[in-house]
Amino acid sequence: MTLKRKTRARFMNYFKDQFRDDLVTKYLYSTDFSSLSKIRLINKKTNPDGVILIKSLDDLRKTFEIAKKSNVKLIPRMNGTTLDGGSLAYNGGVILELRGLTGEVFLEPGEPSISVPASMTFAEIRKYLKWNGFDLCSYPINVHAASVGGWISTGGYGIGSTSYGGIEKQLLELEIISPNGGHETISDPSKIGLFVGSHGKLGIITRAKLKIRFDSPLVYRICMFDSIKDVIQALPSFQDLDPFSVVFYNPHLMREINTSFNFHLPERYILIVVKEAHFDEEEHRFYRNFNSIVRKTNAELIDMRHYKGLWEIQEKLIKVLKSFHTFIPQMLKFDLVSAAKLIKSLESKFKGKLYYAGTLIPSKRISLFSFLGLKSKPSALAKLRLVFSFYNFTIKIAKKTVQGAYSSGLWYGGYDTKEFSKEIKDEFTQIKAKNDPKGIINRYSVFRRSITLKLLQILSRIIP
Amino acid sequence: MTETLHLSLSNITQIASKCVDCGYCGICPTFQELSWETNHPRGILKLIRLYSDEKSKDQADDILFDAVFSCTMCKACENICPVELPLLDIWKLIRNEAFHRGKWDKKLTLIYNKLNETHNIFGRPQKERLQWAEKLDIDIKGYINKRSSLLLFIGCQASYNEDMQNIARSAVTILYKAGLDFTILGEKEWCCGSPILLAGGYEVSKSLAERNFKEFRKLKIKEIVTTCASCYNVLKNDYPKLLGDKWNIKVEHISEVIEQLLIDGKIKLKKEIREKITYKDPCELVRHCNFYEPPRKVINFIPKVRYEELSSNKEQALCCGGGGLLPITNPKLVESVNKKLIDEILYSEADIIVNSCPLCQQTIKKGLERAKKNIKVIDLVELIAQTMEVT
Repeated sequence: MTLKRKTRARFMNYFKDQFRDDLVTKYLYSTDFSSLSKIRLINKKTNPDGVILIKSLDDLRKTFEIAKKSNVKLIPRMNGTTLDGGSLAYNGGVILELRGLTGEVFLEPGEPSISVPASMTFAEIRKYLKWNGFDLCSYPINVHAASVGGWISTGGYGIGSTSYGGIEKQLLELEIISPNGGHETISDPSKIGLFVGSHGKLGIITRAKLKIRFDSPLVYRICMFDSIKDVIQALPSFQDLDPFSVVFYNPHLMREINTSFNFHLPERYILIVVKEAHFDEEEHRFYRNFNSIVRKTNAELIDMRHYKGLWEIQEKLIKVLKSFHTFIPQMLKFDLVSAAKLIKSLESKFKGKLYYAGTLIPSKRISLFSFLGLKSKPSALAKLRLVFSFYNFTIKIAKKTVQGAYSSGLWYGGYDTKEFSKEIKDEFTQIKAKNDPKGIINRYSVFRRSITLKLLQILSRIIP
Repeated sequence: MTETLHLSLSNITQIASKCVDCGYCGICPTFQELSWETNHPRGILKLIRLYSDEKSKDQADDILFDAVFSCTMCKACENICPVELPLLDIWKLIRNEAFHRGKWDKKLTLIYNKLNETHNIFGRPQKERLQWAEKLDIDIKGYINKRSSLLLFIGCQASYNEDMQNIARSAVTILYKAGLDFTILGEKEWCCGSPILLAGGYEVSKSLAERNFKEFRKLKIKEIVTTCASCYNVLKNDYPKLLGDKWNIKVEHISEVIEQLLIDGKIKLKKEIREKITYKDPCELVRHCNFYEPPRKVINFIPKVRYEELSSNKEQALCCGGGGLLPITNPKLVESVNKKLIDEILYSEADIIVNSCPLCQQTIKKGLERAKKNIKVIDLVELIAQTMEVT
């Protein structure tokens, strides 16, 4: 699909060299970090009809004006593409490259908070904050790539989320521009929540005001377990320590971490508990309590002095992907009660291929980044089959085991009543109708959940 | 042809396919200004994949060549890449490919011709290489082309660029006053090959390296000292690759030598400097050579020095925008990249910016002029020569 001549001319006339629709540019914007864009068989088409480099709010307004007039779909994209496939143009549309929408940074030490342009990466924000003696409360693991706007629209959890919550809890204010021309600042927490995980469907986030904390020292302790069941069972006890972050790795991933970062940790389930410690006394108390929990659970203590720097590898964990020819990533968020069952099922199904890192997040849930890693080159068909069975199996097991809400990298912006209350869904629909009556921003979900399940089931059967 | 890189176009696509799409390389200073995925190092790797496919080669070539020539070669992308892809070597290879396909910028071709004909980037006669010494108080005739184990490699900028010639004079003064036995090549010094290597001209840079090495051997040189970050990087990292096992010369930056002279008490810094000093790490020293401590140690020898780091320093140092031949291919982009550094310099409220790279100095000076700020920008050796006394 290409743009109509008249529409293309409108974009070209206004944006000049900020609008591109050559084949090469379109190809470059046809993929993201998700596996979805790489599954050519079912992804219909992910090449956009064009890309606009947005440099100002006026550029955004003009884009909306033309898009509404010509009924063109718009797909926002910033730094750090996601596992959700939310920044891709399914069945055409124009991608809004928002990285050019920069702006000033305002630090309010009294509140304390920081107001930043949405295109800013978390690494840039942290650098700025660290100069001034502050740090972010919670930030994504891919801190060097993820932008504020991107993390808000995918509803992320990450480092620090155990203590401070995900991005939703960090937001004090959001500035958005919507296709109806409105430029508003939202500070009502319940309204802000609707924008979190909405993939820009309610409007383009241009600025965000985030909570910050004093840059206090972090200390950590590590222990190991024999099974994932033991890890999950022990998590609530560690939650009682009011940790900053709790992460765990499975033995396969530990082996890769050892190789990539030159550690010699046991290839077992490793759990790292991180705590903000402002005083020596606080630090010692944390160590005492940690040791006490280790004694009470099935954990074994590891002397962390031998593994100094293990916590710091978080932001560079992606390095382990280096040794794989193919990796098929997936992001899941679900409740702790179901976690052990689901992970155990996945482990037995994909024996030896499943690598994962879990992060404890509030409300007794975990955020699980997992991937199937293959060191040798699989055939295209074998790869496809693996992708389908990975997603299919996950969803099937999740349906049986997960209690309450869960999400996966196969759909986005899914404000349906299964995950959220009817009231929230209604409010979302109302705002969508007000802000974007023609539904031009991110009109499509990648796949609807029901369709996804059926499609995956069929495909895993027909592909040998 | 590409011994330097241990890469070839045939395996470059394979390397490009190892990119995991994480986007960490979005730290690239020119990408941050241009914001198009085509200028993102991750995007350039995808362009290479397109270029290697005969069907899309012609569509991708101009965009690819434009993207690799928009790079300042600051190495921020390569240093942050979690899967450790040799990005700069890849960019250089693509630049070389552009050369062979006749897609170089005309100004680059001009430099290429100048280097071939005159052996320096300014296209000036070799006879003028020692012009800087005319204003020198010391008689250095006896130091030119004499047999010695220590060579001071002056570099094209300090030899020909009048604004930079004081660097050569200061370096010679320091070594002379410290009583070191050293030599300089004078008219026999040829360009180290850095600019042409950055442009992807391996063949010429190899011939320059071989010619210089021949001169080094004649004088039985065992150690080379240089003031210029680019010369240091090329002599230290590229000459061993270009020349192979026969290269057996130790390369030092002048700040290492000065530090040792200060520790040994052979020179002392007498003059107090009360202005606030900061140091801007040149990319070619800090990211290419992991070299950042000696200049700081030397500055801290200055009596009553008020030294303060820039907010982004050492491995995090901002790129000035002047590298990778960008001032030749896209001067406007240099200005916008440079603005971030200038903002940081102004935020530091420093009175003196010390540096060890002629290109950084030029770019910073221009940036400060644009910002209408009168801040002194000086090379480390000039600063030391000004404050020095001989013991």
